[in-house]
Amino acid sequence: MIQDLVQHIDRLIQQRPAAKTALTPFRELALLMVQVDPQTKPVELEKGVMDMKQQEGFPLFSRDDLPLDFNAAADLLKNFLGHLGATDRDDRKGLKKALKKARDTDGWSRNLFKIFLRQDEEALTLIAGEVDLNPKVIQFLGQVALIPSIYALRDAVSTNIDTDGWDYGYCPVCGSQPDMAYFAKTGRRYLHCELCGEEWVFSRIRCPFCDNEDQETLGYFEAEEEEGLRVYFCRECMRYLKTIDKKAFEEVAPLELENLATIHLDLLANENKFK
Amino acid sequence: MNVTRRDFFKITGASAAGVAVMGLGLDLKPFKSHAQTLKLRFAKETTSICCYCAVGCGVICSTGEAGAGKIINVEGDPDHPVNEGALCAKGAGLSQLANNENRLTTPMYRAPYSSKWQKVSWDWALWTIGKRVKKSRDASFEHKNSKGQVVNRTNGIASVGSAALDNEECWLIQGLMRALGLVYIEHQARI
Repeated sequence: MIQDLVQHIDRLIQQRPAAKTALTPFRELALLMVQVDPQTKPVELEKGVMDMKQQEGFPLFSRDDLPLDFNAAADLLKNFLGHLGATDRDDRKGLKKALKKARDTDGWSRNLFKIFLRQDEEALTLIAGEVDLNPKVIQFLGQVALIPSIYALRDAVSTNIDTDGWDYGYCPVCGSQPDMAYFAKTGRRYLHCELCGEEWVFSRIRCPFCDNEDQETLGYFEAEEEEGLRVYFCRECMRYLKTIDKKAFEEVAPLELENLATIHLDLLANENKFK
Repeated sequence: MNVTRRDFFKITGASAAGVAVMGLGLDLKPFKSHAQTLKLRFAKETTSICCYCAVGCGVICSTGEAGAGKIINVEGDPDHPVNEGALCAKGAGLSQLANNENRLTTPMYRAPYSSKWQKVSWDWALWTIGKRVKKSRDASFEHKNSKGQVVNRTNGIASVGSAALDNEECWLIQGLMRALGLVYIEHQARI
């Protein structure tokens, strides 16, 4: 998937010009991303343990225990910081500071990744403050720099998982929540993991965040002008999930890109008090 | 407390979109402008069963929150064990059952030897059906057969039940038909 990222971006921009705004700057990062070849350590997984975890609803790994190639991710983060620091962004000074930290301070990048993975907002704000950057920038770059390593791990282990038998709203590989979903040609709904990109089937009328199945409080909205894109929401927990219907499109890009290409739907969901 | 990623974004003062926007150094204005041009419609999904044949396929009906719950889409329910999301051509057109300018809204009557249909009231239709059933039943009723055995039956009327009838409705119809003396009682599921 990583290797095809740039081609997918180019096609998406051509087919849906509205996506250009978000995908053009991401393309620059994708070009750096495809150069990374993470070395995933062989993961010994005992079948009995794996089956038991799956039956009991435990993901294969916890987020802060993922056996990732942090060195490859750190190199990529430095490349991102170097690239973005050379642009005319308002925060370029902060990006340069962060690059210096990443180069000179042993373990700085690894610490950042760990903070991101364990979702420690306080520590993230602190580390961002040290380099005069918005925590969101650090958050984003940390996440994207980890993508090649996380996806390599997912590809190495996901063949061992029966995702069709996984009936939970969180990822069977890393336990993270979905950031997007799609309807397959059969109409079945697949959730897409926000962290490792794993996909698994999930009931159509059920909230993956709170398990609500009350049809009166679940719903969706869509724009009449954008057939095949829906935002499903739950009025119990007020969460939302963007969903793309593959029947409506000839080709659908990896959902990481579709997610970026549909930021306007996030804005509309937020406007309607969904989070 | 398990802080989710989206909670995390919220705590740090951003939505998921906000993180990408900030991370990529994007200007939010084009997204806002694009969002403002869109005409949104809100809907809820309700599971149901196709009303046509005896297979009983599961469907998901989307009803618009605006327009007094009007059906805006019907699709096969992928989680239903009978059809797993598939629908036949007739089932796929289910929404036309509700949204159809050609849909009949009153009973129609074609008089014997007439070539034209005319609209009639429900009261008139039900009264006329009752009257004619009685007339036909009385005319064809047999108390005893040719061997002198008591049969209390009529061969002048047949009942063909629809697949849209559920078990309890079929039971009521069966009782009524038997009371009238019908022998020819069928159901679509057997034909």
